[in-house]
Parts: sequence; C-alpha cells; structure tokens
Amino acid sequence: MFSIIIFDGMIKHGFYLDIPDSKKTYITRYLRQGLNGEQIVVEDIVYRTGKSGKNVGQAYRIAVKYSDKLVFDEKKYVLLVNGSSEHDMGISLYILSNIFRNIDKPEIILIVMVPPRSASTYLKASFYAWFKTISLYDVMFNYKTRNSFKYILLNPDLPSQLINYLIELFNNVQNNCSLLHIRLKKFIVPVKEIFVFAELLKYRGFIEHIIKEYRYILMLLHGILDKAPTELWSIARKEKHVIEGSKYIIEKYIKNKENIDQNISELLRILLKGRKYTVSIIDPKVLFDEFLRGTGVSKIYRKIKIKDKIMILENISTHDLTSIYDFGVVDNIKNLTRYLIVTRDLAEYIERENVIIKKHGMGEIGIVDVMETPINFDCKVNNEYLPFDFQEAYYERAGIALPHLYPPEIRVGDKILKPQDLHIINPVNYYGYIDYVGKECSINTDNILNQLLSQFS
Amino acid sequence: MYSKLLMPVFSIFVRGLVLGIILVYVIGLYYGVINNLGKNILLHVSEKTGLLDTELARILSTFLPIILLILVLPFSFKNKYLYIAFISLLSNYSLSLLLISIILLSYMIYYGYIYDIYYELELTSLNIALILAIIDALLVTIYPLSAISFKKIIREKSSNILPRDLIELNMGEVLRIIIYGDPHSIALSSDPHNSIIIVDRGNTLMYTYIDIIPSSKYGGYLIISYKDKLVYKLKCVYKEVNYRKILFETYYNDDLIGEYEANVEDYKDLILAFNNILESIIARLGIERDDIRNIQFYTEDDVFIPSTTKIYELNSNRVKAKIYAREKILELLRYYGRKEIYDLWETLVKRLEYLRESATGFLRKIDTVIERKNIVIRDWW
Repeated sequence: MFSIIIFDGMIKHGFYLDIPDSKKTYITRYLRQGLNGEQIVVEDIVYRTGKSGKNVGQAYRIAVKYSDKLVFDEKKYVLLVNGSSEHDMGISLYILSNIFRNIDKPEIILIVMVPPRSASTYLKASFYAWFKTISLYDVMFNYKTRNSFKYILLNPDLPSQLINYLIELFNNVQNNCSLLHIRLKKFIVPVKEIFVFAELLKYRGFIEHIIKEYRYILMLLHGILDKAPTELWSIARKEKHVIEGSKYIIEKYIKNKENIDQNISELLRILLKGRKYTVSIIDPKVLFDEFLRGTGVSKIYRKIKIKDKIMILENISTHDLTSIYDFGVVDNIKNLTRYLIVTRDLAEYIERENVIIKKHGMGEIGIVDVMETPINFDCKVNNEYLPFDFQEAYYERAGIALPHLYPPEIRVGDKILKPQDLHIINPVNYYGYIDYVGKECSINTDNILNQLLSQFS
Repeated sequence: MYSKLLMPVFSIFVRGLVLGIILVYVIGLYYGVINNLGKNILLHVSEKTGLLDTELARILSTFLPIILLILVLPFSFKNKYLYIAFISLLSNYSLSLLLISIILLSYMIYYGYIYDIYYELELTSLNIALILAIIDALLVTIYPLSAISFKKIIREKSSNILPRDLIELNMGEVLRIIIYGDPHSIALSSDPHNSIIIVDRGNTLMYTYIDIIPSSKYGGYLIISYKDKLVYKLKCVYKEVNYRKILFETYYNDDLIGEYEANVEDYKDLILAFNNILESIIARLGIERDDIRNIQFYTEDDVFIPSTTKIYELNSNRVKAKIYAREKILELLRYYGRKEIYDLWETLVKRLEYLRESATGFLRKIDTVIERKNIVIRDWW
C-alpha cells in the first residue's frame, strides 16, 4: 500500500498516476479544486502577502507550523518533488525528517524533477543545497535500515506516463537503494495501433463514399430538373429545403474527412518514427499486411519471429536505451540491474529473472536498466552528476543566503545539524559514504557522518 | 565523387584495364612465370607433395583454365549488359583462378611445414595471390558495377555531353541517360516533383537508356541515385522556350463549351499543352477525371491531329478539342420514362434525407474511433 505524496509543482503529473493499492495525497500551496486525492494545504505565505522571498528554509519553517496536518504514518512512500519549486523542496525535507523520526523500517522512493538549465542562479543554488541534504538523508535512512530509501532524478520535461511507469516498476521490485540512474525504452508490437489505423481507414473510405454519393445525387436531381416536365418543378419547389440543407451536411462530412486524415497522419508518424522512449520493433507495414489477411495475433508473433527479436532485446546494450536524466555524467556505478516489464502475451517468450508482468495492454516490452549510483564529490565519485553550473550557483549564493538554502536544523537522533554544518560537507550519498569511508579523500565528510551514524550501529 | 567514378571512362575503360592487367598477372602466377616456379602451380604442387599423379596433374593443369573460363562465362554474362559483363568476366575469372591457386599454395605450405620442406617461394606466391584477390574483389564490390553517361538527342542525331551542373536543351532536344550495368540500382527522381518527364526508355545490347525532358519552362533538378546514394543532381532547362498562342475551341460531348486561349511552350505535346484547360473544365463541370473517356483534336477543317503532335509542328493556331465523357445522368435517365421521373425524384430526395439523418450517428462513430486512437497514442511517450 503506497502512500503517494505529490507536491505542488508536480500536480499535473499527479493527475495521471494510476497505481493500484495506493493513496494519493497532494500538498498544495493553496486550495485547489478538482484534485483526485486527499489535499493538505500548506499555505505559501508569499502567495498570501505577495512578497517574494520564498526559499527552502522558509518552506521548511512553514511546514513545521503545519506539523499537525502533515502527519504520515504509513510504511511505504513515494514522493514526487519538483526541483523548481522551493515549496516542494522545503516541505519534502520536513516530511522526510518526520518519517525518519517516527516510522520504523520505512520504504521511501523520492522522484524529483531537476530544474531546467535555464533556471535562475538562485534556484540552481537551492537545488544543489537540497540535493546535498537529500543525499545525507539517503545515508541516514539506508544506514539505519537497509534499502529503505531510493531517489531518482528526472529531466524537467518528462511525460506523466513515464513517472507512472517508474512507480509501477518500483511497486514490484524492492532491492535497489540510494541514488538510481535509470535508462529505459519501451518496445512495442503495434497491434492495437494497427487495428485503430485500419478502423480510421475504413471510416475514411466510408466518408469518401458518402460524399461522392451526395454529389452524385445532387447532380442527378439537377439533371432531372433540367429535362423534366413543369409539373415536377412544383413538387421540387416544396422540397427545396432538403436539397439546400444537404450542402451544409456535405461540408460537415468534408471537415470530418480532413479530421480523419490528420489523425491518420499523426498515428502513422508515431508508428513509423516512435517517440523518445517508445519504439515499434516491427515495420508497421508488415503488420498491416498480416492484419489485412486476417492473421491472428499469435500467428503474427510466430511469423515475425518474436522470440528472436525478444532475445536480441534482452541483451540490448545500455547505451541503446534512453536516459531519463541526462544533465549529468555518470562515470561510476555500483550495480546495474535490468528489469523487463512485459505484457502477458509476450511473457511466455522470456525466461529470465527480474521480469514484471504488466496487467493491461499487449505486445509491449519495456527494458529498464537501474543503476545504483554512488555520489561522493570529495572523492570525485560522480561529481559531475549535477551540472557544474549548479555547484557554481551554490557557491555564489551560499555566502549570503545560507539560512535560505537549508532547513534551520536537521535533527538526527540526538545530534543536530545546522546550515553551517551542512555547508561544509560536499554531496555524499549512501554508497558514496560506505564504499569510501576511511579513505583520505573523504576525511571531511567522514568526521561529521561517523558521529551522526554512530548512534545507529 | 561518385559521379566521376561512374563515368564510362573510369568505370569501364580504366577498371577494365586494371582488371586486365591483374588477369595477366594472375595467369602469370598460375603458370609460374612471375615467381620463378617454372611450371604451373598444379603441376608444381603435385610434384612436390604427391597430391596427384604427375601425368594426371599435367593434363588437369592444361585444361583447368579453359574449364574455368567455360564455367565463369555464362555466370558473368547472365542478365548483364555487354561492357559490364566483360568487366565481370575479367574479375570473376581472375578470382576463380586465384582461389584455386591460393588453395593449392596453402596446401603446399602446410605440407612443407609439416614435413619441413623449404616453402619460401610458395609463401611469396601466396602473398601475391592474396593481394591480387583483394584488389580484384574490391574493384567489383566496393566500386559500383555500373556506369552512366549522357547524350543529347534531336531527331536521330545524337551528341555526347559531359554532365555539368546545368544542362540546357535546345528545342526538340531530349536528354538521354545511358546506363551501363544493372538498371535497377539506378533511380531517377526530380526536384521539384514532376518537373522532369520521362519520354522514352529502351534497351540495347550494351546499355539501357532513359530519355527525359523538363516539363515546363522552369525545368527542375534531375536526381540520379545509385542504390540510394546521390550520384548526379543536374538542373535541366530549356535554353530558350518559345511560346505559341493556341486557341482551343472546346467541345464537351459535341456541345461547344467555349474557346480557351493558352500560351504554351512549343516543345510540348498537344495533349500536355491542353492539360491545364482540361483541369479547369473538369472543375467547372463537376465531373471526375475518370469519367473522361476520350479527347480528340482536329484542325479548323476537321482534320484529325494525333494527341502527341508537338505544338511547333502545328500549322495554324486554332485547334478544336473534343472531350468525350461518360454522361451518368443520361445513362440513368435512359431507363426512366416520363412518368417514372416522379418516382425517381421521390427516391432521390428520400435518399438525401436518409443520408442527412444518419450523418449524426456516423459522425459520432468517427469521434469514438478518434478517441480510441488518442487513448492508444497516450501509451507512446
């Protein structure tokens, strides 16, 4: 039973989410209408007073004030945060520290959309600081309970369907943790699409036929009138409205035909070129031919040698998949797990582990490579995972705005971390800590973290 | 670069020369002249390794080149045009001789290695053979087995031209593209679409040819590709286009519908020049293009003019154009007497009403299908 917490900046994605056994909670800046889940309004003071000055620290403090509303007691959480919203970032930190304090053995997935490259220096600085803080939470959560925290960065323009896909994936697999870098691609046998295409063609043919018939009848009527006796004219005059009304109908039909044409070309374009994360593995023309011949789906699968195609796909190189976050450079991963998300009809052709069966749909194979990524900027482990301008922005801002960038205090057991403490350590996450503790390069962070974590061993 | 490579000079003449030289070397290698073996390879190997009885080897080695030639000949000439077939023959023959030589030499070297016999000479021969084989294979695989040349044809007289970026044709001239080699790997297209017209095609023993002319005064780009790779992009225009004002007295099913004047290029066929007027008539009368069965042209004195007559061959500037089309109304009306016209009218009006009423339901079905398509597309992200 997931509790999905959708922050204000991700509301439009929240609409789309459809995960079985889940409960949606929206955390909004002001009361919004028509949300399909529980809504907790954490009022953005800035919104009320109209003053600018929203920042992560302030959002955290507001969240503290709303602590009676922000109560969570589930075990499994998905947090959807928009890195371009300080409101999101601040409140998410509060909720995480709450969960850390109160829930025993939680399971948390944090999905965050990174701010675009064109964001202001201020936002980039806030995000960098927030990323650092989240990475620390990663260390704390996973140290206390193994596999209890995962976080994923996303490009800023990703479709909601992809987020839904990811959450569904992690609903079914539990054994990755810490920062996950994901590359994925969906491969489709476009049976449904060809079926719809055929229907569109059929209706297009119908319409053309009807338009032709209309024109023919009108021409006949005019022709008859031309050669008819005068008595016919008096009858004709009474039925004038039928003939004139049909002009209007013909126009409607013609407009619909153009509509169908546009839809057909859009469908074709997608079938032939695919989209960023979805491609067709069969030439749609071949499929269409088979479809016209009335071949059944399983026979089609046999004809196109789907088993061979699937075997090739199972071994596809990671570089042929599309990354969901490509702002940064990954030069060091701890573990790569490949998951296959297939629909029921193709599941019989696959014999390997880590296969998740999708309940709805057909002809779909999704290949997802999940890479556990250590972060330790001091030891130069994936220190380019965030683009360098984020770090630059942070150092520009940190001098004057430290309390804006961090929560006023982070309580970890009996120890308290203040913004000054957080400022002096560089980003490090669970694997970045565990694998490099004691090494020369991470002396700085080790000092603080060893103290913090000693209370949990 | 492709265009230079596919000129007959290089593709056929130079390549043929090189292949011929290679063939000479190969024969020299086979007969042991090049590498001081003294006798041909088969005999040499039989003597040294006892592979075959010496007498048998002598007979076999004499006949081997001839047998190979007989085997390779039909294979090279099948489905090919003469010059390219020759090139193919040279290459295939060399390759087959080389293959046999390489096999024999390799066996010899292996034998020598096992029994510790000196095989230095055979090794150099093998090297030479391998290098020749590679060069030979490259010359017929990577280098396209095709050649293209151009000619200008006017009234039985032809002149070879070198392809430049702009080709200007005189009145009545036609550009002939000559393709040596497989015509199916060469594709012709025009840019903009339909700006180049193919007027003739043909085959001879040595080549196939395609005749083209530009379709209008503005000409267009002729794009020649070999297996989807661009070889030539030439602009084809007419040097000077003369126009003539032709008056078409147009009849539709023997009813005079009007006189239309048009300024047409005089290299065009009569039927092509009439095309624009024809399209406007089709639009005005509301008929389909398929309904038109026949278009005939006559002079003012009702003398028949064939439709493919060129405009510049016309003696006068007035032409009668007679369009004969299927008259759907007449066909139907033929079956109805006066009384039944009322019934026909009723039926037609009722049919119109029925079509109008079923419109809403039908259009709603279309919306459903489009909705379904949108749902399906949502899965593609």
